Amino acid sequence: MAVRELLYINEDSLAAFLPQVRRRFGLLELVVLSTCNRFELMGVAPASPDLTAQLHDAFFALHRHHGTLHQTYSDDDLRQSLYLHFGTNAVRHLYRVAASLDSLVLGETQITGQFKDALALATRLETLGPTVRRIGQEALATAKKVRNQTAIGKKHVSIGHAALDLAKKVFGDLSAHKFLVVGAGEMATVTAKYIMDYKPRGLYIANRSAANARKLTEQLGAGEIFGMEELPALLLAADVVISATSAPGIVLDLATLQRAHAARRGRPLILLDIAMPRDIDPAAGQLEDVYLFDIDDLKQVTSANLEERRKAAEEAEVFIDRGVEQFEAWQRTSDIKPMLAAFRTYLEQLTQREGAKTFSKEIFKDLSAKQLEALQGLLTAVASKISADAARHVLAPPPGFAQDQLATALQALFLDEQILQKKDTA
Amino acid sequence: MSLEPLIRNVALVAFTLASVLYLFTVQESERVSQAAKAAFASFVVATLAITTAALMQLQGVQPLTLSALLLSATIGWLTVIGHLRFKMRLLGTFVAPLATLILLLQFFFTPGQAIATEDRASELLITCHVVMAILGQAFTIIACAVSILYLWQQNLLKKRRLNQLAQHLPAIDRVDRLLLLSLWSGFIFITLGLLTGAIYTQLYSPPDSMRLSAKVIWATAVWLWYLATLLAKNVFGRPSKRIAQMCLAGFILMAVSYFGMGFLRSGGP
Repeated sequence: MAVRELLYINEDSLAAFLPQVRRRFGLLELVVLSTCNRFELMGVAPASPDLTAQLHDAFFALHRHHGTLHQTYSDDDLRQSLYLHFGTNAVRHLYRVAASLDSLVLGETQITGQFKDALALATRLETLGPTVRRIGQEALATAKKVRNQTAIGKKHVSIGHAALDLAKKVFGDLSAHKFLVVGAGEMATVTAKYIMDYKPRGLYIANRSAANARKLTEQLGAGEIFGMEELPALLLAADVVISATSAPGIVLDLATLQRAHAARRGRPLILLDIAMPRDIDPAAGQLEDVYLFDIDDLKQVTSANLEERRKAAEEAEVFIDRGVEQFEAWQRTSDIKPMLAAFRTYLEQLTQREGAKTFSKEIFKDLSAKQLEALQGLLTAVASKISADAARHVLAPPPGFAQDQLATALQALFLDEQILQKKDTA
Repeated sequence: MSLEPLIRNVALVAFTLASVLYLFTVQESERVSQAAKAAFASFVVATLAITTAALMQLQGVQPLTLSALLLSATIGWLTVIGHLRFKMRLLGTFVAPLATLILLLQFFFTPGQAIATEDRASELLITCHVVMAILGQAFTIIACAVSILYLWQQNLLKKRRLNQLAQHLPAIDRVDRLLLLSLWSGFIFITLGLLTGAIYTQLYSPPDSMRLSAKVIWATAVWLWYLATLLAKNVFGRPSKRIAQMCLAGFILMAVSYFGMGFLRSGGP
């Protein structure tokens, strides 16, 4: 955690330095994913015996310029925390990251957006190439399938969300009800933000410090501020009460809740006590039409939901495997296409050359230009047919033959090394 | 040969099958959606069959008479509407067994005998009375089923058995609203049934005054109970749990009234 929190580099800083890093370390393609929980370089580099050291240096270079990491840690310290993936493992890792299978909170939704933003930045800075672009597109498509076809993100695992899910068990439509948030600390703030997603009829913030309550309403852009002395009246108006103060004792005692309950005349009231120690008298749960849930109840819900996400993650690996296979098939094809193009060029040049040599002979001098053109056309057509047939059979090999086997044979039989420039990539 | 007994038995089998299948929809699992669809399909088939059987049984019977088949058909259609319109998928879980029970019991009770009427007006009045009575009973049976659902769900929430709260359970306030709607509907139709019955009695005085008095007493008792239930909710603000319990008690009172009258009509001691 201590290392992770120093890793983050914002977009503007990355934009200033990313293209330089790519050029300086000889990377063919480079994308940086920088979030509060991870910092990753994704790219394509020429194969080299020093590739690991090269990538470490690229990482350190980025941080020396814009991070605070080196104020606290040396390169040797940091190397212990770095991880590297190559080839298929790298592709699989990226797919898992995009699908939130590698996140601290399994199935969280933010990472997919962050992944998209990283690709968009690299596109803008022209450090994105065809390979990582393809990986990115396939990873996002796989992430979408995982989200739509598994239960990975269907149930909430945060306390705030779980609290509102419980409220929905009583009041199906939360937008028709009023909420009271007691407290204005971190937990209250997070939960109030979730409440705003439901566009409630009203939001009341009750807090000891009016200044903190005001800060919260400014963040939310909504909410009415009240002092703690107004709680009894607020209990009549609000249908859902979320208490998250840092008070050492009970804030809502049984007597206050009994009076409110009597005045509500049978209208249900939900009390969500997410404070530690508890803010609400546990005996309030005995009142009819009052539903009281505390932090233990919510943890029970989130644990069960997390377990479901873990099961969904196992199903998601199937989509990841399929996605990686598809990418590998594409990669094989993309390696072969330049070779097939070179073969076609070879045949065109061969027919042009031999045609010119042959048709200049004495025997053909009586033929008209049109006739010579027709003969040349025949040679060109034969060459096209041969290259088309070769391409078709290499891309879709007949039974008993492998694609790379046929491609290698074609290359070895017809193509000079000077014609085809091999790309060794990592 | 009449097809009506055969169709009635098809309805009985389909309601029984629906009752069993609905049990699988209570817990949340992979099987639920398949079981729920099969249960609802079986329920719809049962409702269609029982409606056909009821229409065949009452064909040519003028005026309309009280019939367990007609009651089951009405309950069936109200449940189908509840499922589709109010998304109360679990309603059938509680209604299907009740409908099955009503059909089973009708083997022991004959349908009400057609009342001899003097003219078209009296015939219409009796028909109106029977329709109102059946709708009143059907809505109160639905209210009973909804009450059971409410009490079960409320118990899970109050005892914080949150992992047993299946995702597909409706929000409890929606169940509460449906309970009140059924209660009000049942009460209104029972009231109209009593009024039309009273008007008919006043105008045409049927011969068997002893049985009629007992019937009127029971019907009035049921009406008063439901009035008390509605007052408890709307005037005295009693908790919904008490209202659901009162609905259950009202159903039992109504069942005793209905089958008690059936018992008397069939010549019991």
